[in-house]
Amino acid sequence: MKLWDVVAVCLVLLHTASAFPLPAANMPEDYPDQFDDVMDFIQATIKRLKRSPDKQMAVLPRRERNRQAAAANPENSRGKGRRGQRGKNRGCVLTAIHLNVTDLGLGYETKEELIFRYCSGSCDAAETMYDKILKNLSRNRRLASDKVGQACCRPIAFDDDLSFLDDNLVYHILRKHSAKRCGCI
Amino acid sequence: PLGLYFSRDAYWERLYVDQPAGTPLLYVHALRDAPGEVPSFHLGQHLYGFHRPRLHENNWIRVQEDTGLLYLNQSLDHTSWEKLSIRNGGFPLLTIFLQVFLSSTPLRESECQWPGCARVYFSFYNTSFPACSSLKPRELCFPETGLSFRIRENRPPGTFHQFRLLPVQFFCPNISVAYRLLEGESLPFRCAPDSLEVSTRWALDREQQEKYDLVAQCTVRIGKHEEEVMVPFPVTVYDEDDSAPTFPGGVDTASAVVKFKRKEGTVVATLRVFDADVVPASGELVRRYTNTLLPGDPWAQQIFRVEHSPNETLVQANGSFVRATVHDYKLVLNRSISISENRSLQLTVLVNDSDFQGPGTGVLLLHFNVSVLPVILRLPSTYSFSVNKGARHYAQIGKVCVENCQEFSGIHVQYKLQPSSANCSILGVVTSAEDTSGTLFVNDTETLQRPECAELQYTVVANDRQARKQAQAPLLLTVEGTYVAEKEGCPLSCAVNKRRSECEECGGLGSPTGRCEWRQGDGKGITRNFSTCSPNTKTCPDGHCDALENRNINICPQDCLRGSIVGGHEPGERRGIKAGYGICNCFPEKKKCFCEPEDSLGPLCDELCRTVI
Repeated sequence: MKLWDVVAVCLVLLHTASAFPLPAANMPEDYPDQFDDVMDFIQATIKRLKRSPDKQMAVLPRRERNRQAAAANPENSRGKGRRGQRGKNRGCVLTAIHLNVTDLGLGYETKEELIFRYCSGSCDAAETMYDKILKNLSRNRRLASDKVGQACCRPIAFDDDLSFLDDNLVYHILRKHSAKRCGCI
Repeated sequence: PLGLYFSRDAYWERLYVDQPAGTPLLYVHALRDAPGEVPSFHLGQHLYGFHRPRLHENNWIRVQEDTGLLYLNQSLDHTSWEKLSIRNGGFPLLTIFLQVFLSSTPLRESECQWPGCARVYFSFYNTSFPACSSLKPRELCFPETGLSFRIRENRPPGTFHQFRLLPVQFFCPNISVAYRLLEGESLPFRCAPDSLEVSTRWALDREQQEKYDLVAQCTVRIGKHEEEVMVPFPVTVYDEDDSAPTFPGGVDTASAVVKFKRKEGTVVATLRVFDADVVPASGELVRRYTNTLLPGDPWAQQIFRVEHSPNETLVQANGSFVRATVHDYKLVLNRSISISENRSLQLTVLVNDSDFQGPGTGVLLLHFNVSVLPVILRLPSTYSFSVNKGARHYAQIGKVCVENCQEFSGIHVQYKLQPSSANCSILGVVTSAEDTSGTLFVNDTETLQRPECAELQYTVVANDRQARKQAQAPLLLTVEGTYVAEKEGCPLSCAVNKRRSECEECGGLGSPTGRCEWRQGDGKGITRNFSTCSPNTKTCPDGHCDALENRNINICPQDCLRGSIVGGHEPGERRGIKAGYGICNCFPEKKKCFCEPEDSLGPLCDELCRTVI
């Protein structure tokens, strides 16, 4: 493609949203022999875009695409909890909260802070035949204990270690203290 | 032998655009190491910039070979300024320097180092020389950057500074400036009333005074107006090796006895040597300040070595403190000595300050009189211990130790037990490498419960394999108490129990009474005194995984665990829990311990809820 073609594509994309025809005044007239070709290309592109709005994403850079996808589907925007499933509840997802280390209740005396990530949400969607049978058995009181193991929303990977200095100038390291990925296990 | 040296390593002056050729800039000064030396000054070929890139060939500044006067040979115009500034990276302040050498054949230019080379810095301003009336007294008297000088001790006196600012005098001849050194009368410095030069009056001695904090005073007279400016004028005296090493208090002999401490690295005796010098400097010291163990007894040559540890110190001289050096020479065991060794020997160490030029000698002889005495292994006449019938495997019964074992180091004693009857054997013994003691423990709980094995006799044998020496003592063991069957569902290790009630109901590996013991902590944050359940609170947890606890991880995981600790804690040096939050309990098989605060509200609520229901 020639340089002018590239510029034209960009212009088209900028104006697609408004869907107004491109004002001819914006176009430099230094390339009269190429002008018709360019107009043809623009018209063809607009037609294609109108025909299939999904294809628009194929032209956008990857980051832009992700942002749009996230805006359209907020449930999936965070973590890899339950990929692409639309369950009855909000799935098992990773949530972050900003805390002081003292909030953790571990007895450390320090002014340091951290981002704590935890897993929450229901695991209904992860049910298997096994879970169904267990549920039925406990409902029919065929199992002595009704505390049968259900799938739980738990971390399947942990954040990196966190080290901090306490008020007595002693270093401590927290390991496996915060979730990195969640899963129904 | 050293030659001439500069009295400073850096000089500073201002340069302005379009100063005419012939403008004098400043004097550099060299002092003599020996009478009769004559300096010959030479400039380096290049001008250097901020981070020492070569800016340009020096076409502008020249030096008078004999006087050290730097002057402009050619006017520095605006174009030159711009050219230099651009090459310097366009920094707003243009500071350039050039190098002055003392030898007629300059060294490589990259190696400009005091004493043979000095740097002359010029702050180069993009304006012409300011009007004389606009100059402040401080600018008329002294350069911007402070003055400081270095003078070697014991060297011929000489002139080392020239007060007046030559460009100021050149452009503003009508301003009269006079200089004076305050407090200089009694000191070896002279600045004659009408003179502008400072010189030393006699050779300096660092061992008398190391630093002179003089004050330079300048009086500016413009018409009838007079003003005074004062700046610090420090002079540092450089040391040379003019003092021989001596013995403080004349002590050149040390006596020592080697008995219980026989380990490699033990310091047997120390002798101190004093040297009033601070040269050679620390980097050179070990090479120049040598010590040799004089040959004699070949055995002693192998067994002993000398360690030299020099240290700077301050001594009082003339009301001020000057630095000096003390050298400690330690006689150290080069290897562990067998307990049977019995000798008396004299060692002589020759210390040589090889830099010392005299008069006299820089050599000293240190004398060490050492007696190596043998250690006789002896156990107390009789041991008698009792053991509870309910004691569990690895329960600690007592300790055996040869006489003076607490003081031993480098002595390896192994303990053994010989039962007098072969069918009743309950005890085992482990030897601790740290304190040379033996710990007795229950090794067979089934035999312990057999009624015919209620009173047992053993022989304790302490054995030093290296010297083939041994000692023996009889040991009487009585079995006491009654056996109570274990409650069901109790864990193997006491440390598993998290509550006081379940701890005290159960027994575990290592408990001498058959019951675990609860240690109640102080409950203050993360503490070494955390609450926990252990077989014997006297030995566990104590922050130390001893030889017996090391036998089985279930005995005291609080001290011995290598694994993860969940909850607020401080890990031990290599293993175990140093400090924990609240209650710490452990699952040794899982290699895990948990520390969390005692939630006293939990059971309370349970009871409350039950009452309500």
